[in-house]
Amino acid sequence: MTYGEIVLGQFRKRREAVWCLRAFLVILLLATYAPMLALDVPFWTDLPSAPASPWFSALFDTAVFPLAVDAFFNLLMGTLPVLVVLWFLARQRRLKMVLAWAGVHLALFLWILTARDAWRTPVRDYPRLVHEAKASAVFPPIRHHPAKRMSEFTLTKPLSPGKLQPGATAPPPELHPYYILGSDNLGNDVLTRLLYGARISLTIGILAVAIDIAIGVTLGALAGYLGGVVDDALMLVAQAVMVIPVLFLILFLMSVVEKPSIYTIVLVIALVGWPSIMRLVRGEFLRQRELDYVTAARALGLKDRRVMFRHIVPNTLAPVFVSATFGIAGVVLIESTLAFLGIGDPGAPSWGQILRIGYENNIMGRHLIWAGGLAIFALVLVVNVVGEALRDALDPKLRR
Amino acid sequence: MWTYVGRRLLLMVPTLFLISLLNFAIVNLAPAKRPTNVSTTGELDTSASMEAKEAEHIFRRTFYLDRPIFLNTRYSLTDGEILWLLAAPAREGELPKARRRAFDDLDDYGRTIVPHLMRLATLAADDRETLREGPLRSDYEGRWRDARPGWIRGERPPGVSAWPPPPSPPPFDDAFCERLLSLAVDRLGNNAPRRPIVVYGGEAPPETLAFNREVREEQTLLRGILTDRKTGDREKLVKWAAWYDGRRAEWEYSLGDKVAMTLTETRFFNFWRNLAHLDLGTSFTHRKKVWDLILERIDKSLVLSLGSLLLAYLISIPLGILSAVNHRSLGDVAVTVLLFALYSFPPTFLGVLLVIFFGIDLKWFPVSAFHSAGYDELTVLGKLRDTAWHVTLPMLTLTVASLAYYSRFMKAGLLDVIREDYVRTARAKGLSEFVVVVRHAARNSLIPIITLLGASLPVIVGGSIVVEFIFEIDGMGKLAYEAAIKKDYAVIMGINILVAVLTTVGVFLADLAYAVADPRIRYR
Repeated sequence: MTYGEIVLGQFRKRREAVWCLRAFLVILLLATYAPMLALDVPFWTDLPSAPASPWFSALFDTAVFPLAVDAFFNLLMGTLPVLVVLWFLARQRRLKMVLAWAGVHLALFLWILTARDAWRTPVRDYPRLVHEAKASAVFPPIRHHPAKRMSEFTLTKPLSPGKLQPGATAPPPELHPYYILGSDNLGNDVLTRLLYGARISLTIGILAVAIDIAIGVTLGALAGYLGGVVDDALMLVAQAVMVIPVLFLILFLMSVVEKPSIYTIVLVIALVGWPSIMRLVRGEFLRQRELDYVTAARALGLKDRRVMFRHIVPNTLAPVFVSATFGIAGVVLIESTLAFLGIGDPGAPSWGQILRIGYENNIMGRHLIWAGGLAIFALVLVVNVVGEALRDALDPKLRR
Repeated sequence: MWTYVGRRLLLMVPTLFLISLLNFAIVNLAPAKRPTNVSTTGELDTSASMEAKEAEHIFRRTFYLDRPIFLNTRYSLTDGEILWLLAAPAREGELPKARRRAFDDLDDYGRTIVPHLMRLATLAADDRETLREGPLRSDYEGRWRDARPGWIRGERPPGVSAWPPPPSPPPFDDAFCERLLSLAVDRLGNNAPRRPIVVYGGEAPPETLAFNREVREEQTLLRGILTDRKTGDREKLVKWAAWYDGRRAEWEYSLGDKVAMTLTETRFFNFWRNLAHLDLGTSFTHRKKVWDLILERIDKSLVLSLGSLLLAYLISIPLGILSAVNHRSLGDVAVTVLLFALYSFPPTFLGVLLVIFFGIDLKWFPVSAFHSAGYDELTVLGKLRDTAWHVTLPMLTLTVASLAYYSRFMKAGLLDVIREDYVRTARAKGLSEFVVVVRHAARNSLIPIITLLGASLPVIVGGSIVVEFIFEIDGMGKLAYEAAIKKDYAVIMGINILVAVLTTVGVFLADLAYAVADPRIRYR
């Protein structure tokens, strides 16, 4: 049995953790395939002026999806099945295959990012066009866009047709939107915003933690392996960052940012979070560098860099992974808190923002509070349970 | 032991230094704020509101933004440089942005450039031949060729598609000299008089009062020049010259003066000097000293966080003990699951839920503020009751997150201790289970909690941004939040540094307490 198989076996013994992992995958799938579930652009229509599949051409259209994150997930809709097929076809060398797939996906994504400005088309209100031309069309089940403000509608309770703003002229009854989870004060469907908000939360969580790991492992390796002055200096910096409470530091850094976007949020959160990972890796390095295999590697004449990153780092990764899992949960919490406080990109749908609107309209907007709050809670809980089980599975003392 | 204490105290210095340096860097990297009293042509504009101007003024004064960052060599400015900046509004084809930059630079130079302005004005008024033939003109034309107006560097004015040919330098004719004279005299009126120091909140020190008296006397002396709109530029210049002759010595720098100016009249030096004087600056949104702001609010945050900390310990320690004693029983599993759920529960969500249920629907508790309206008239007991009534919901919100964390910690610690030999010995002696657990095991497992106490100190001081935001409590957290929104760097910096100092001290004290509580730990 390999180490990986032992850990996997231990992990599988925690039934709740397995269920939570599945729930996490479901959230990931829902976020990825959000446009298939909710969009105000039809899959197919016989409108004379429309393209063959307006839905397909809308996927990389900056008029419909201005955020690069959405373009990334829309591309993932196509490439994810490829990955699954490859995974089951290839029994060996799966890691290399996944890396190759990721490379192709990223290359495609970058190409789309540079090219998609040229594909921009004018914004069209397809439900209205289809209705007025009496054409036929097949829409996604939820006929809403995450951020297309329906200015004539106001805060609406769940499971009800749109409620009009006082004084607004009503569109024809066929065009009245139906809100499964209600709408926010701008007439945006909450369910749609939840689905697209999951993309933002997951992206910020995973990206920020990835940057944290990159910084933390590199600096931790340097500090632990080289020791001496380097160690002292790096520990000092880490301590200086850790002394100020996380949210304070983030607020401070965000106040410098001119125009907050989700990328600046990722950066700021990552800048604040690396010291804990660094200390973890440094501790492991201090222990491992005295072990025989390191001496052997050095006796072979390997360069310091190779010894550090090829030989020691892989042995320190287990606790880093656990810390990363909890880190994702923490970042999702911080991101939602920032959105709740109104700091961040107002254009990106975020769960914290839904909660904030509910808090501001706390008589009419109860459904917003429940929707936003439960979504954050569910994601954080699921990730924390997985992290907890992972930690126990990696701990040889708790083996069952 | 004492060596250890000394070393730890010494180690605090670089940490705090780094944090202060970080704050300094952020303030100086932040997009610069500028007074808004300059129009695009570079002339003075009085349309900006007095309040905005005052806010900018406070901000720039707090961080000495009119000075260079590290080294101040303004004593070596030349007439040529000042002429170039001074003539910016008269320069054909110069971009508004560049004009504004020139105006700002001249503003920043302040009194340092008075001799240059006097010389330039005299030349422009009486000695135009020297100006035309002398080195100043060739210097100006050289700058014209080197720097060139902004739009030739590629910053074309909006709407210009092709690059027009560069305009030629001005011929230094009479019209230009008249313009220069008027610009220089205006500039003198702006830069030469000293300004009184406004002290926000509290008594001004006697030196400041003396300085302000002196400044006011000077202003009465200059009133004739400053406010008279009818006098021509030449007459004004004569008056300025008379004023300047009396105080020429002020601009004659000895070597010592120059060294002192280079090193001390900078942002960097003044930042550290203020910190050394425990001066955290003035907030431009509140128009108060940051210290006063913090002292006004820290009590609310302290009540809130200390209360919630106490509550969290009071609940979590017995809960952890019970959980560990009944390990893997039904009750333990239920408590563990519940605590784990609470641990993942977003504080924002919890706070909002408490507000809508207990505050709005049931109306049991108030949803905002820290005191009722007539708080000051209440008796001591009434005040206590009022505070407790207001503080219940926020304290509950704050407690829940830490509660889950502490009791998990406590349970894990006790589970470790309970397997140790000395606990088995205690049981073998025939002690009751209660005495074994509470007297022998729990006491030792409490030791790690001390470390947690040290680590939770920043939250105690800083309060909680989220809770204070939701329940509209005017504490430190809300202060920091509002400062971040309004970019009031003085407040943010003050809170950051204060919290950093207190945390460092707290962690240090916790380490010491750890050593006192656990005799096995020996510090070198």
